[in-house]
Amino acid sequence: MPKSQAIQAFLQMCNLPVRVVCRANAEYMSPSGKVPFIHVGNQVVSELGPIVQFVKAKGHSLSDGLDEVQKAEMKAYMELVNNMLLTAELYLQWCDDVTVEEITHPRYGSPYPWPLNRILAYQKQWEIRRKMKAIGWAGKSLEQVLEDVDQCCQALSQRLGTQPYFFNKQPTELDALVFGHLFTILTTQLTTDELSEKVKNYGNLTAFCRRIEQQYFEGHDKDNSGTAAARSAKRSLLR
Amino acid sequence: MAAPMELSCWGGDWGLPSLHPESLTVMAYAKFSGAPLTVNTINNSWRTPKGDVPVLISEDTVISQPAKILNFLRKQKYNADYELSAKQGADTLAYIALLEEKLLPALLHTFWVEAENYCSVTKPWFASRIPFPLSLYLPGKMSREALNRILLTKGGPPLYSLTEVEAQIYRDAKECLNLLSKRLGTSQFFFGNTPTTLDAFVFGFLAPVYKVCFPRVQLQEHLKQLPNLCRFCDDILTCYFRLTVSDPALIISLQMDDNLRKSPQHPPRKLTTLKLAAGGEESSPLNRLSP
Repeated sequence: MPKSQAIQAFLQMCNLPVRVVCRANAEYMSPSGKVPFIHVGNQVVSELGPIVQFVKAKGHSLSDGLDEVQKAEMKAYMELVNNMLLTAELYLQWCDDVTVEEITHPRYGSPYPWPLNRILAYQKQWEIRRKMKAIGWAGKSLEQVLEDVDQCCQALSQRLGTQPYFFNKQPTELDALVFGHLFTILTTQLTTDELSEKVKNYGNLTAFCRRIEQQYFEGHDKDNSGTAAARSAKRSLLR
Repeated sequence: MAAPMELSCWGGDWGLPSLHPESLTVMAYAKFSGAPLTVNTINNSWRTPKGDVPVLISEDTVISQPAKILNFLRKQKYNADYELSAKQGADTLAYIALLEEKLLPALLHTFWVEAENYCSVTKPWFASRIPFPLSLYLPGKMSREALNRILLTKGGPPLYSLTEVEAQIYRDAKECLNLLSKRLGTSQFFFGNTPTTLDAFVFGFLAPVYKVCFPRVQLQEHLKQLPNLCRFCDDILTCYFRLTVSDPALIISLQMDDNLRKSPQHPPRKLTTLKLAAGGEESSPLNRLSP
């Protein structure tokens, strides 16, 4: 979910029209097995990195105005978001027992009949837990994970400061990525509100998300011909 | 005064105080912040490494991961980042994440997965510092863990074979080195003239790639094309670790090498590098094979 928000934001920042469609077999349609992906003419491209390069090859890029040192900084911050926020989201979804039972398993298995829903959910959980163990996150408690999220948000907040975007006046891929993650954290209902509270502690980050939502998503909601399920699942920070 | 602190970590070779990136990071940070650490390198005794290395022991506290060790040192008022602004602190976290995501997989691969490197250099070196019979098991376990980590974090589709994963991680590592070089530019350290946490981490990751002599060295060759990063490593080694050829410990180990030349665990690497005859590096595999 955070990645699809990030990619939508990125495409809209590039002024490229995009239509969102929800499909149960999306993971299987994608060339890399990961969602989301975009379908352009004959081509299918998945994941933020390749999509950014695909769009750049077609002549649209958000980071052309940056110098070499700024591009290095942008890539470093994108890795920070991937390293901390993404891993923390995965941890919370798949390694925190309460969340797993009440939210993740039902949601992940919902398109499938029993017993397939349980089997696929357990398989995914096992896969994610293996990965957490390999990178050393399996031994972390929930408090430590929340502390890491706090540290990451603090770094992002300090980097953003009072500017409208991370690299001053123009949005870049980093803005899209950060927006995707923070928006999802702020709007997804979990068993506890601790994660979203951590983000809300940083006023400039919530203002940043609201600004991007207003600028890039408000007008497009009416044009969006997504399915009824997608429309009812649409949330807003401005409720 | 603060309680005495002991650091247990892997030892060094090829002019480095330690071969292990995380141990090197902690040692470098301690030097930069002036923390008085007694360094105990793991050697061939029965006090084997249990669990994570490096480990900091201070009175009754035992702390194991580099990030936690550095936090502990900061709380003891050994803070190398005292003069950094909030934004520079944020940049530090971001660049460390970049190192871990982009450079670490290739580093692990060069040391532990690349067959020629692992069999001829890494395994004998680590095995010689672990007591029998653990020396038969532990290096293999570290190698499997490294491969596991690489495959689980980088090995999903559309990369299906190990060769494709390897190609991708080396591409990422070279890009990471280029980014670090651009960020460093012509300054002495990443944030001006005094070294900070970021310098410790970059040094910890780069120095093993720079100095260790492996048969397969594509990452090292790429690094050598970035002179500012090489100068960065050399400066830290000479200023903070004072390891030069005239180091007495090195001379003693050179003398030992003569006696241990027949042992497969102590190949005469150092002797060949000092030989004035040409082709020092290429002749070392031959020396290793000879009885």
